[in-house]
Amino acid sequence: MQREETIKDGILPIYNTIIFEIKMQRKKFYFFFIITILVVVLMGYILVLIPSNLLADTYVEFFSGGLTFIRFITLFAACLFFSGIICSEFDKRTGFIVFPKINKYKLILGKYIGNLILVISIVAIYYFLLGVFGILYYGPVINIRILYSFGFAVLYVIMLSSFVTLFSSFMKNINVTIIITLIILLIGFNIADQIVTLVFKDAFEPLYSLVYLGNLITSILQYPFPNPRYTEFSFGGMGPGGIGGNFTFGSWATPSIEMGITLFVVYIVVFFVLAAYLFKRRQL
Amino acid sequence: MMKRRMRISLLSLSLLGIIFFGTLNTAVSASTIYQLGFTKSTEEYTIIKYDDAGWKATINPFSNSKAFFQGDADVDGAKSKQTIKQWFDQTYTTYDVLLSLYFSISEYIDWFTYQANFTDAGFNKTTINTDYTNTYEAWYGISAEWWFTDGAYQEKPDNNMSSIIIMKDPSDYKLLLDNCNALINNIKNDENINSSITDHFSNKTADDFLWQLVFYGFGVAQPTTNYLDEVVSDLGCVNTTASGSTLIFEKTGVTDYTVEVSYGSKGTLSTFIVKDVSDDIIYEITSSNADWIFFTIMISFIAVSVAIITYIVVRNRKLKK
Repeated sequence: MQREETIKDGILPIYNTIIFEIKMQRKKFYFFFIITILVVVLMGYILVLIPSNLLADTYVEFFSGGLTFIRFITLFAACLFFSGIICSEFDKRTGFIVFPKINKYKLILGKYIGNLILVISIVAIYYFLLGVFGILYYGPVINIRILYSFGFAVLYVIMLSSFVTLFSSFMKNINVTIIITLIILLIGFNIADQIVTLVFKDAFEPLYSLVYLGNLITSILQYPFPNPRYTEFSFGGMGPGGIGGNFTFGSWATPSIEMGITLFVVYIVVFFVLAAYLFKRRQL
Repeated sequence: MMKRRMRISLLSLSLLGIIFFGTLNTAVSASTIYQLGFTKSTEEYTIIKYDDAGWKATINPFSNSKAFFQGDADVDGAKSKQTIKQWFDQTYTTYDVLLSLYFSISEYIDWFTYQANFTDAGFNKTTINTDYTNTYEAWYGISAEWWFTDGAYQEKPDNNMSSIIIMKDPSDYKLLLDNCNALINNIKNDENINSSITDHFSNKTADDFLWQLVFYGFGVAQPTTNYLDEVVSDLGCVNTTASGSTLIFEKTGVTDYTVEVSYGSKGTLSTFIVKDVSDDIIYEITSSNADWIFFTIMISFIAVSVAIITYIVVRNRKLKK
């Protein structure tokens, strides 16, 4: 009985924080909800209405095409929802309270879970609506790979959120955290991937890149799974008599499934451990 | 102030006028007798009945329903499906229709086998299109097709470029048949081409041509009844009639039999029924689609969303009070 009460006392503050955080972030959620609906309706319905626009052969290919924007939406959502988790506590000086009414770790955990529920809901709505439009064109087709894709999308969101939380643990305010994480995720990783692929070609897979890992969300839908995962395109020799420079452009399509899952888990653990450590140091 | 209001009103009226005029223009330009019924969707076909003994006794003792459709077309309960992926306007020349609609598969192969002989005799794409200058306006649809199977469908379609052709003007079928028959006559009468080659080609009757079209992706524009009526009457079919949205072919094999081919609201094949002389069904295919599932889910989703929003609004109002 006493143990049950202890557990209840331990969980209740987290639960209350989750509910409070969900209410606090509801406007952001409505915004992303509307954006998600608009994007899915555009991709899954309006563009398909154009007769000359070729519909994909299968439900899964349609899904794969429709998921083009999921990574942008999750990326922006992660940056906007999770950037304030830790740094807002210090920005508003609540993080410096010596004897807080609620354990600070429980507070952060509650805020994180609350935001995570909202972002995963957005991803779920995206998949649900796209799936419903797919039924309109292909009938009720069940394919397990769509569930795998959703699983990878959830892992991707958790990884991005842990990355943003890490930045939130040492940055001073929310806006700077949003801008810096957006720049790194939108531009930084892409530039780094391009340079690495240009220099090392197939000798070095950009597994450090969070953006590259996100390719698994759509590549898991491909049948068969992309193999080889590295492809090269050659240009040149197109001048008169076959003269002209030769340029080879290579690209990595996707990480392997095993490596992708492993790295998702590793990055999530590393980012959270670092974030917790920095948060603790910051309070001292 | 008044002037400003006046200007805004004038501007609004002008904009409305432009939109109205534009709409009217579109309506005028889009106004043709027949309309296209295509929608990007999937139609599933199921073999309801196949009576092999009846087939052999009525149609051909050495064939089965695979003569009409690909895959496990001779298995009760086997299913196939077709997904319309795209369509666009297409203008055919006589040479195009000769190859894609008029020739049977064996004639098509023979045409390319002996192409050098035809070219030497002056029958090539340019000369044919110069002699027969008509063009034929059509809607050309592309679909992905899974052939009949009694198991689960394969991941990829058996044919991802299956065509559906609908002539915008049904009388074009008659025109192209006449042109192609005249061309084949010319070829057969040409002394420069060996008769052993020309014997591979023959004129087609309207009934044979329409029967062949059914398996070449013949589609129907809306209103279906009028369109089919016009196709059959223009072609001057003898053993084929149109009844509502159904084409009825009177055919002879071992004994007489009829084939009823119906077309749905999308303009594609809907049912396919083969009956013997006593009107007993030998072979039957019906189609279905899952549009209702989509609408059920969508209506439920919208209803739940409206209910939640209403609940939140009402609750907030009560809290404010």
